[in-house]
Amino acid sequence: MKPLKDGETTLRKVLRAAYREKDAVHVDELWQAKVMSHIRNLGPMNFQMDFSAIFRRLAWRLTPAVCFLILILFVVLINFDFTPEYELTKVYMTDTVTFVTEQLWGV
Amino acid sequence: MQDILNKLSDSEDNEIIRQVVEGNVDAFEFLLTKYKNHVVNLVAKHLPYHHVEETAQEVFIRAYRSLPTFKAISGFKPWLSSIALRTCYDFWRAHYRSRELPVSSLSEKHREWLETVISDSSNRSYYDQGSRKEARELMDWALEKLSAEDRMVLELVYLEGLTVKEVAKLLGWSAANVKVRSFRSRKKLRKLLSGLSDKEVIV
Repeated sequence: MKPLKDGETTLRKVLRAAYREKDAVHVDELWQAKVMSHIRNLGPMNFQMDFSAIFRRLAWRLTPAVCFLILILFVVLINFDFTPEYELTKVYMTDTVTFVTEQLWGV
Repeated sequence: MQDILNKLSDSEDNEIIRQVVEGNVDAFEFLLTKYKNHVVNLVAKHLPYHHVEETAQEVFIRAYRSLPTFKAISGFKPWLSSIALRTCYDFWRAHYRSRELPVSSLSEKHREWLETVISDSSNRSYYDQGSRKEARELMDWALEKLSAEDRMVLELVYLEGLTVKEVAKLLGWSAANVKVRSFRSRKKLRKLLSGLSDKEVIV
């Protein structure tokens, strides 16, 4: 048997040539009219933006950004030492009259 | 120069696609006229002739339905080619399930032809003997014996000479999957052809 492997075998060359030599197919105007008729029957597709679908697609992509934002807010809150009771007492002590009036009027 | 023409063509396509997506169905005819020959010839490479027109029509309908998902990054033509190949793949999957086409049979003439080709050191038997018909029939017979996946990969990688990466992108498979399929399908083809011939066949 002859050695066949010199990069590409004879059989491969032959099969590739046969594969490529398939006759070109041409479609007529009737075929095109049929396809367009089918597409017109489908009508304008419902291309409206589906916001719930977009949200579902984006949700996981946005997850790292949301986590990062939560972390930043957490750090900011700790640094500001946000204690509502303390702030309320401070307001009461500095301007007692206004505070009591506002409480009475239900503001 | 070719790049400029391609870019112009792409921007023209994108404008038409925008019109279609906005509801101008008739604008799709421009894309159909421009790419019908490309799609029909692509489909014809993979399917029997009498299924070409029907499948090409299916390709354009699928493309029309998928237009909202089209991203203008790589151009409309590669995107359409990918849809065409996946439609061909779906055709073969359905065909192998139902087996509606008769399996072709081989004659003694095909065996003799195969023996001649693999024994010929001049690499000219195919052309000298003018036996294109035998080559085509032998190939169809062998492809018919493979699965739809093996068939597509064998045609694209082995016969068309596309790279694994290109095939993976066109069929939407992983590169590793294409590589494994390519190896296995060639092995199966070798086994099939070796069964026909007394000699060892290297494909």
